[in-house]
Amino acid sequence: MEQLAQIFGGVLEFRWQYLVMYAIGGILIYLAIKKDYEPMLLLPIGFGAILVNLPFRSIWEYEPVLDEAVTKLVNQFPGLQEFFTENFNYVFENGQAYKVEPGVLQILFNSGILTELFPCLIFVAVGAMIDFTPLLKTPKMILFGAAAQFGIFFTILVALVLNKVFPGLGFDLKVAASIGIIGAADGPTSIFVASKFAKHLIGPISVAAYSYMSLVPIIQPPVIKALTTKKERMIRMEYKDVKVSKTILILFPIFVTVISGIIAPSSVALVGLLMFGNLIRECGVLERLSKAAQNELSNLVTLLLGITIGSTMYYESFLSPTTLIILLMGLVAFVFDTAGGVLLAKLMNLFSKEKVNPMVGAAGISAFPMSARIVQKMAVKEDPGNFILMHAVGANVAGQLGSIVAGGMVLALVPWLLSL
Amino acid sequence: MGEIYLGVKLMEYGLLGTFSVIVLFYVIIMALMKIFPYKNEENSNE
Repeated sequence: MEQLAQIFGGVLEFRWQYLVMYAIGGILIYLAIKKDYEPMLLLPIGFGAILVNLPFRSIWEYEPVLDEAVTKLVNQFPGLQEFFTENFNYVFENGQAYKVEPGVLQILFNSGILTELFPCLIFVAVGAMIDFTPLLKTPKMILFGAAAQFGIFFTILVALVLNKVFPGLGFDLKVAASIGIIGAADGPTSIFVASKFAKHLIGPISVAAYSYMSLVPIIQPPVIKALTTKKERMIRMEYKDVKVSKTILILFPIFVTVISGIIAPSSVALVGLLMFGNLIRECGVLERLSKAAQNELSNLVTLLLGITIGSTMYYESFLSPTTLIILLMGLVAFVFDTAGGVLLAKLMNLFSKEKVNPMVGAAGISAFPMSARIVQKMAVKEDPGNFILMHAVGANVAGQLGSIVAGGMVLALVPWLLSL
Repeated sequence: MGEIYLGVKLMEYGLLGTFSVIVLFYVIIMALMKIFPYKNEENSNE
């Protein structure tokens, strides 16, 4: 009987919650394959969610093994129990010490997410892919990169208010900041901040960040339409094709890094590595490295990042009202990001002679290049001859800068405010 | 201090900080475009 139980241990260990997690993983895989929503991330995340919800969860950690030596030692010196639990992954039951060896995905999580290595490497890759030329040609657009981060801070506030109403949620300032950063519309930034402030919520935060990024074509148009008139959406913008010198393209990432590092030192890992990737791209003498960052590095880290994020979706922590609220908060963040950008454009139009199409403001979120494409598509729908793509791309690139700057601000301000 | 108050302060300083840095980037772009116009580079290449 005991042998049978060993053979069919998986069946005996099976829980109905696993089925729910398979369904969630399946939906993510479906969205990736059928709808082409961020497939590079949603597919590994979905599969990771299935992997980690298999009986015994051996992909995350192996079954505890009795360690007689440590058992004896701790029985002699009980004070050591805490030391072994905290530092060496030991669990203690009935006075016996069991060593829990981390599984493959936990090793990846510990070394890639907890250390912030994966998001940082992704930043190098993203930097190597960004072309700042459209922004340098239309510098005014950079302001939308800041305005469209409004959703981050608004959502933090909403999360804190919710926590006041429902104290059981556990949304303190750090957790609220990690939820709000979904509004950065930038997966690595969300993971980076969450790994600092709310490690236990990395799963739902990342899923929300990447899901909403892929849902930008559905989220943004109604918000833009609600905040603008047809006349405003038809505003045409003059585009001057200014040539940008190579010197500027090389100096820009260096200057941005230095300034960010001085003003918000905690953002250096984000901004610095993004700009390092960009410098590799623009310097003109490291084409091989630039290509490697854009392709091999990006692909490999994305692959590992996705499945590792998925592995944090264990049913015990994921199937909770908190997850649902985080997903809703993510939507709030994206809506108010869009609103922030659009409203700034409208405000600028009150004072400026050269009118800005307010839709361009919505492209100030970091979802590149999707947001810019949507704005252009909407502009053409209102006026077939209206070409605002280059401005929208400028704002969209600014959004990538804005999101990491806002992330850096959150990283710097939260500990400071808590210390007051 | 109340958490909501801290949230309001975070919003205040966060948005202000983000805008300040972005405005600084704007100034840098404008300055760089002035100092290193495309024409100069072409001339130096010749």
